[in-house]
Amino acid sequence: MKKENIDKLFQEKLKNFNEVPDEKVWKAIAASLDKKKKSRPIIPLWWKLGGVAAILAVSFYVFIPFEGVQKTDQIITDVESSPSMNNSKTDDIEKILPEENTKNGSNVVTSSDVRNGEKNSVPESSNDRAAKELPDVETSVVATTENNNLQKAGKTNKTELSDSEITIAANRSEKTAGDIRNDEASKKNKEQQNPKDENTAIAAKINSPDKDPIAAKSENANIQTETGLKETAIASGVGNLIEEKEEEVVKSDEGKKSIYDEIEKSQETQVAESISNRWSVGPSIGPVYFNSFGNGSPIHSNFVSNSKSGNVNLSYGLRVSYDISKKLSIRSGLHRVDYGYDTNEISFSASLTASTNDQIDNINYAATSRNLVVRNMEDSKLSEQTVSLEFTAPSPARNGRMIQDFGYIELPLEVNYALLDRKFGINVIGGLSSLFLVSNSVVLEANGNTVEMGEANNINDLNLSTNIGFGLNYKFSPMLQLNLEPMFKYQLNTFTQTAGDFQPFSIGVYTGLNFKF
Amino acid sequence: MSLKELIHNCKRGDRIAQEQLYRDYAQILFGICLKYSRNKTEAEDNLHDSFMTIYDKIGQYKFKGSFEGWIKRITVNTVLQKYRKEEYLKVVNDNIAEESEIDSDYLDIELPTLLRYIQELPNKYRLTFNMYVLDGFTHKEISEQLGTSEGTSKSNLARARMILKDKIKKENINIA
Repeated sequence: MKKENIDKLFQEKLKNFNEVPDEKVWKAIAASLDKKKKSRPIIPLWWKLGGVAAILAVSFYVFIPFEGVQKTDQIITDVESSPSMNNSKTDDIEKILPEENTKNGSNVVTSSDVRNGEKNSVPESSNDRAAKELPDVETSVVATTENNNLQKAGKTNKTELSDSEITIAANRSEKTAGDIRNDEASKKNKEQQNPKDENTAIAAKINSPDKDPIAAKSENANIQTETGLKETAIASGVGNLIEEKEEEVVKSDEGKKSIYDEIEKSQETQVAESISNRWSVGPSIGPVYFNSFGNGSPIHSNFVSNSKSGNVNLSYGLRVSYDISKKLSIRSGLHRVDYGYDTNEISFSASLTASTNDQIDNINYAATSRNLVVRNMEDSKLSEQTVSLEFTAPSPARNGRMIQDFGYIELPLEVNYALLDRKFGINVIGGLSSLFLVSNSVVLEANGNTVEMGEANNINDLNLSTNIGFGLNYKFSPMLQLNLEPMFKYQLNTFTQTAGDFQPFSIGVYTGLNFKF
Repeated sequence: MSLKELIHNCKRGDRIAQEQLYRDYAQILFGICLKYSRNKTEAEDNLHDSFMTIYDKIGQYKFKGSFEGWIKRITVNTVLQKYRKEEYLKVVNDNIAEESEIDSDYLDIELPTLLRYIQELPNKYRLTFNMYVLDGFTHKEISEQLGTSEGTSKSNLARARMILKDKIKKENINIA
């Protein structure tokens, strides 16, 4: 009795099964689209904000540092100003930017190379090469030069196709299971005779809207399975057909792997892309420690020898992140950050005779503190000695420290690369921040009392920092994750001029939540 | 309007283009939804969700590869996602002797009946049977998509075939 595979029965009837849905489905879709349109403006706001942030940051990096340095150099008369240092800093920025560009560039090239390389490794010796390559061409959403070439070749060949060839290719897509064996044989012969036909077959399929990649793929599987069946039936001649067939099915599965690994990969990226949401937003907060390399003083050369200590302040803000790929994301946001450091061993006193000569050039004195004379403790001891020769009155000077605080609105632009992307993730973060000065004060403190001195005039309104750090994250759900990020930020141009070597940096440990939407 | 123009206009959110896209492809995608879903109502829901995803992600289509293949994959993924949430992930590892041959006499069963048989299969069997037999996925691919092992996928397929075979047999007896 003639037996038919149950799969064939369903394939014949249901493989290309279409049905027109009720009109109500479109109405529902249209309603959903309307609803979505209304709720949409919220998302473009983030797009716009992100775009504005990126443009601002980039344009400031490119233009402002040069202009800023030149202008302030003309105004400031301090002898110890070091424009060469500033210039070298701006050079640093220049260096960093192209380096990043080339890095990105080379990454792109490599990844596409790898992809092409993988594609090339697909075995092509099989008889069904055309059928095997087809799903690649049709399913791969990612551009590959190989595919492009294939399609181009297909198009050129198409014009040379004779009518009969088109008919053969078209018929192939509509043939029934019974014809597969014969057809395959004829196709095999054709391919041996003229390799060009292979392209024409591909071309015809590519351009045939009826043919879908999945169908081609399973058709191929069936051919393999059936040919296998025939052979084993002849070889064994007896029962055990079921067992043999199972083996064949497994074999054809294994045969498929090498080719369909590629499709699977592109499907995976496709699935990932279509499922995951690319934007995420969340609050971030963390302690920030500010200090400097070198012993210089941004206030005055008198304080170079003083001991200095960094302060811990708080940084908080909102972070927006956009996933470029599964591993790579770009992020920005808006943070408020305060930096502060103390210059210790300061002596200060009020003096009626305080003249502009005694005042520190780098500080704009507050109205109430114009008569303050601030000195290094050592210097003031010396001057006291000379004074005490004439008067025996106790010294009016107070010893304490000078606290300099400056606050910024920080606009980072960072790239985040995931080294480990599981429930627990590890990331490397690198980038730049634009810091816009919003608060600036110098305060003197002695024995718990403070007096406002004024504000520093050598702090740039726009400061830049290069950022590098590690990110640890824990995903509570695909939509929510907790971050812990120790970051090192090297300040590029906090001050227009400093006395001695003063290279500020900050270290922050930021914690935050990320919501995907 | 060419396909390229149509896609471009859909990317811009043009409603006429969106409707045209629906008119052009709804019947193909509804066919897929009917096969992968339990009944017509669910198929309609899935078609709705698939089109919403297509409109949403159409900006990601870069004109490489067939557009039809791309939207079909989105549709299959949308349906899988829906049923993945349900409890079909229970591991079934019993080895079943595969016996999927049936007499040729049984083969004049009408399409709607066959479709109903598929729809009546439990989720895991229906999805596996559709993916493997009708859409040419390998067991490796199916196991990854459904979050099971390859062994489970094979045994699910065997189960599906058994059930379908039983149904066809019964149908034949009824006809006779």
